[in-house]
Amino acid sequence: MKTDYWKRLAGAARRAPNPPAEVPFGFETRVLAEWRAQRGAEESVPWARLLRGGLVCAGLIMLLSLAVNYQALREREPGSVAITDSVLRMTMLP
Amino acid sequence: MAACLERVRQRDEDAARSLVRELYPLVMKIVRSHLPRRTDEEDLAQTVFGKVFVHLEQYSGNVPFAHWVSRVAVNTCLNALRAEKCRPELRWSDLNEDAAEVMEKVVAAAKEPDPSEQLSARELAHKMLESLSPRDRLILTMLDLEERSVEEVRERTGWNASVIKVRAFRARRKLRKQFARMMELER
Repeated sequence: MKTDYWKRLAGAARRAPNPPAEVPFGFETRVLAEWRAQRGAEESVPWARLLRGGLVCAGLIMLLSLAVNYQALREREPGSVAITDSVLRMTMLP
Repeated sequence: MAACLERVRQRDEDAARSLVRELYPLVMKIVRSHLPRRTDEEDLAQTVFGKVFVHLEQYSGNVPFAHWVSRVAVNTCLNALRAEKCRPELRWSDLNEDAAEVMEKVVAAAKEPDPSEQLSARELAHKMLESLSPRDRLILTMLDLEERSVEEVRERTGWNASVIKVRAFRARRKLRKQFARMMELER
C-alpha cells in the first residue's frame, strides 16, 4: 500500500505547539481608530447610502432605456443627427 | 457577551476594546491558519476586526457570536487568498535545511518527525497547501491540520457538505501527486 505522505506531514504539523495569541501593543487602538474613522465617514455623509442607491438606480434605468430603444437607435438613418445639427446651426446662428 | 455587544452597538469604545481582547485569540488562530504569503498577520486580523465592527448590525444572534466572527474571519482570509496571483508548486530546492530533514523523515516513513521538528512540519504543510486554490486550501487546513469535521467546516464556510468532501478528496490527490513529483525530481 502506498504511504500517504500528506497524511503523515499533516499529522506532524498538527502536533506543533501553537504560538501565543496575545494582543500586541497598540492593536486595539488601531482597530478602534479604524472604526472611528469609518463611523466619521458615515456621519459626515449621512445620505451616502441613499446617494449610492440612487446612482445604481439611475444606471439601471439608463441601461434599461438603452435596451428598450436599441432597435430604434439602430434603425435611425445614418447622419440624420448631423443633418439636423447643421440645419439648426444655419437657422439659429447669425 | 450580549451586554458587551449592546454597548458596542451604542458605540462604547471601552466595550469595543474588551471585545477585541476577548476575540483576538480566536481571530488570530484563523488568520494564522489561512494567511496568504507576504501578508502580515496583524494587518489581516485588523481587517477582520474592522469588518466585524462595520457589520455588527447584521449579527442577528441566531448563532453564537464566536461562530459569526469565525465566519467573517474565514471569508476575509479567503478573499485575501484569492488576491494571490500565483500559487507556485513546492520544489525540493525551495526547502531549507530543517524542512528538507522533515520531508526526508516523512518520505522515509521510518519514524515520525521529532517534537522539535513539528514547527518545520507545520511550515512545510502550509507551503504545500499554497499550491492549491484558496477554497481547497481552506478546506484541507480545517480538515487535516485543525482536525475539524465536515460539519464544522460547513458551519464556518457555509458551503455544502458534499462539495467539501469532493474538494478535499481532489485536493489530497493533488498533494499526493505533488509529493510524487518532488520525489522524482529529487532522485
